[in-house]
Amino acid sequence: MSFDLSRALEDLAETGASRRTTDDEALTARVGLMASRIRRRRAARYVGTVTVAACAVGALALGIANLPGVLPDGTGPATSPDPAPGMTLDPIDTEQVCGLALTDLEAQGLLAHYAESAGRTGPRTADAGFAEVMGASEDADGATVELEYFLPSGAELSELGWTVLVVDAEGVVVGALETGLGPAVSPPGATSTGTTTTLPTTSCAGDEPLEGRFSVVGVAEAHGVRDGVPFLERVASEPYPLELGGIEETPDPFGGLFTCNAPGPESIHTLPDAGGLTLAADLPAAPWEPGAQIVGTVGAADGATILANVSAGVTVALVDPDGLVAGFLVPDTVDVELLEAGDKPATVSAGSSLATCDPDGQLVGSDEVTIDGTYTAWPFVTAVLKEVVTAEGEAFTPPSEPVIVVANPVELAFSG
Amino acid sequence: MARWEPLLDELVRERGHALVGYAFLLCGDTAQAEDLVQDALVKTFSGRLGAEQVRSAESYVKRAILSTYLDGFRRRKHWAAIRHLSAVPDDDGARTEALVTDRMHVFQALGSLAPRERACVVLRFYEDMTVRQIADHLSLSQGSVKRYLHDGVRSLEHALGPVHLEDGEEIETTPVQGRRTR
Repeated sequence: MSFDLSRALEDLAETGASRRTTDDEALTARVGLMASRIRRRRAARYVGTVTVAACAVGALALGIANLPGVLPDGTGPATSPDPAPGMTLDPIDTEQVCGLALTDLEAQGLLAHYAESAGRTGPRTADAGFAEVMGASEDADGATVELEYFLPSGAELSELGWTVLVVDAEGVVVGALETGLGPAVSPPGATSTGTTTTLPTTSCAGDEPLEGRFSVVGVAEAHGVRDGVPFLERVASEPYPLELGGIEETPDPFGGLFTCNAPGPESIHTLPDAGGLTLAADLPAAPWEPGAQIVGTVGAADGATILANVSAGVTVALVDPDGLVAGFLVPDTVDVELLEAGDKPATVSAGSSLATCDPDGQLVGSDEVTIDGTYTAWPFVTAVLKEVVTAEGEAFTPPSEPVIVVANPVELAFSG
Repeated sequence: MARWEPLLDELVRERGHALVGYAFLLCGDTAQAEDLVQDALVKTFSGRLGAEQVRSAESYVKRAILSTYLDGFRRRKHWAAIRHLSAVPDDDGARTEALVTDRMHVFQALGSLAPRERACVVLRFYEDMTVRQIADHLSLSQGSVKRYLHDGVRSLEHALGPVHLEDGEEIETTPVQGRRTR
């Protein structure tokens, strides 16, 4: 007797989706939260996109993007029911966590998404709150970090506290600040509450000034009442990039190849080594319009097969008739995809937005930015090669440095 | 209200259940499936959706669910492993014991597959995609897809017995010689 796998999977999908009698309601109730996240992402996607896209690939090489246990992925440790009020969490000691890897903190159960209410029998994270770092930047007083905690549905806060961790490229905590639990400031019925705190920009280990690229992780500890039952939870945010001291004012994420107001590449023969990856891009023949989809085809030269983390959208550098970089078409995504380019090319595709270079060399982007005329468009993606198999079948692991894969330039028209 | 907001609302109301079911097949946990769907919706709607894309938003969300699941697997490996060992589908009492037993066996067998094997099996046998379509969907070569399907189906058959294929349906399960990329 053979097994009907298709029917079994349909049955299992239905079972999984129906396991909670309120699953549709749970998802529906989170539409507001999703809409908030979407609005923030859409608002923030312009100027930083070029830099972030490159850094995202670089971060993968350095391991930042693989920080386990700090993503709000809704996966927490199974916890035993605790019907008694007065639940407690192991405190995060900011002195003791200094110098520890985030993986160690996760192993201690200090960072993983944690949610427990009286009467719960396990992790039900769709009902849990959500922490997010909304912004982080250096100023005269230190690093200002904007934090937002989104309440679980039906919850009212009584107290909220934050621990903010600064993490280096190796995933090690190099700075930490605890705000302490305080009265929740949101009125009843509020869906989120935000706060801004200022971090010192010195190392927690030796008070040395921190310089370079870091990540900030906000860990919220919330106490309150939900459906008449006391609850507390600790939720960790996604890492948020933070640049401290010594970073050049004008980001140069593309190794000098494309810098605002600087000369573009002289020709396709002067491009840097792309590790064997190739790129062909499909640019619009008509004048570019906001949101235009740009498709890139990533291939491998010389019959090789290459596994690589590649930016999920194509960026296009725009070089004006004077030969200077005048702006970029930035993709609507900063994601990175693991692609296999070989006998079958892989594609990346994303909508595009325009960001132009101001006289100071800063990128300016918004829905209102326009340019006119014809530019030389250099499409490119950034990539980190993971594995190369040559045409002869020899496999090796290439250097983990990000590479820029540039397509042949084309003329691209813009009309106001 | 922005143009995408009514669509988000409609998509969640009308297709949320199905999307959670699809995500559940990939990750094996209802709570994580809901989180996957939520992350995928945010990811999809954070981009610039054109009018044509709006109509096919569900397929974009499904694609985002898949990539989020595959991308996030390493980060979530620890807890996913625990869930797969401990989570058991609820018995709603309305099915026969045999059906429930079958379901549990499928659940456990599916949970034993590597993420890409699991993704290929779900796309092949639940989404009814061809090998070529799966290869396009996952940006893999057809040879890689065949290898994942071969390994996945063999693992399932080991646990469940021979897998029934519909008349005329073919799946190449010849193992591809060579390296494994992941």
